[in-house]
Amino acid sequence: MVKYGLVIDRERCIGCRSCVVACKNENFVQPGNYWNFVLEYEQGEYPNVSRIFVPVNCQHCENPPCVKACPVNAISKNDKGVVLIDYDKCEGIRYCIAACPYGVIHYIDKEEILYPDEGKIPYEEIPAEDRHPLHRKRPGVSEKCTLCWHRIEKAINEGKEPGSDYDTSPACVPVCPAGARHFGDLDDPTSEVSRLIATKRAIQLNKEYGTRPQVYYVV
Amino acid sequence: MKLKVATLCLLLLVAITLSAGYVGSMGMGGRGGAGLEIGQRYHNIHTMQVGLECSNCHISEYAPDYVYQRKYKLPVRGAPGPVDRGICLGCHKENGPTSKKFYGTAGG
Repeated sequence: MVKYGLVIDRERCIGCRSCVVACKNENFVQPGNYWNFVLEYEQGEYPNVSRIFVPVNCQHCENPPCVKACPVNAISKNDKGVVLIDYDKCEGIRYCIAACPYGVIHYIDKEEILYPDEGKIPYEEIPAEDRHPLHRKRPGVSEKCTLCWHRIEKAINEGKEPGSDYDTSPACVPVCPAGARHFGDLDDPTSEVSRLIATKRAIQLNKEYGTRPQVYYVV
Repeated sequence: MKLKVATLCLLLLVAITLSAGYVGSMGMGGRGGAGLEIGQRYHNIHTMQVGLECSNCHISEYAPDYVYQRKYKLPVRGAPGPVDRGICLGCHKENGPTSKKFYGTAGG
């Protein structure tokens, strides 16, 4: 059984937001919404202070509350462990947003473009039918990180190993200049992510919710 | 007189139909009023039936180290500002009192 996930090395993260930009570019994310975001805060007291950066995206939980909360069954977890929203089924009820303890699901209430005064840029002009189904969002639906499932799916279909190179990894991973983000199969004990979890101090966010996230943080 | 009553009824019917259509077109009024807006199912259950006060969930601010992606979003529809997530856990955990068990247990 394959179970894809991320390991994010919080000690390495410098808060540059390259992952945020790569994600927005790759996934047609609505202006104002973020599938991937870097939270930051200070720790300690002067003069011994440090700045903490925590990149947060969908945790692709093993026990996803959003799936249970959706009354129209628009959210599902596929056989590779990726939690996805079906935009054809989503009715914008937003119980998923209320149930998610990570705040990573966003609602599209209207179509927004980057430069309202200048019209759509060519990137925004790409018609829905030319996009991957996971990028055919519309006003009135919720959106969130797909772990770049369109890339993983393409890699699998082409007989490539997901995560083996730039195009087969989630967009946020290879762009990280600090090498803080790692993608791979959590069920494969020889994968890089499993090795990191086994050898470093890796934690999951908000364990008290029992969601069993597939995103780990090295702290 | 009968004509006046019939016209009034007809107008009322049209108004109800139009308003239902409007709410439906917003994508929030289907499924028996399911939605997060005040007056819809979510808030009705938690305030009228469960008896929660607004301030039980809507807090003034998050702790600086609170890890929640939408914590910086201004209070707008779909992001109602700081909300204490812990209160959800009380009822919606695996062995909680409600039938809607969204969360597991810490060890699970």
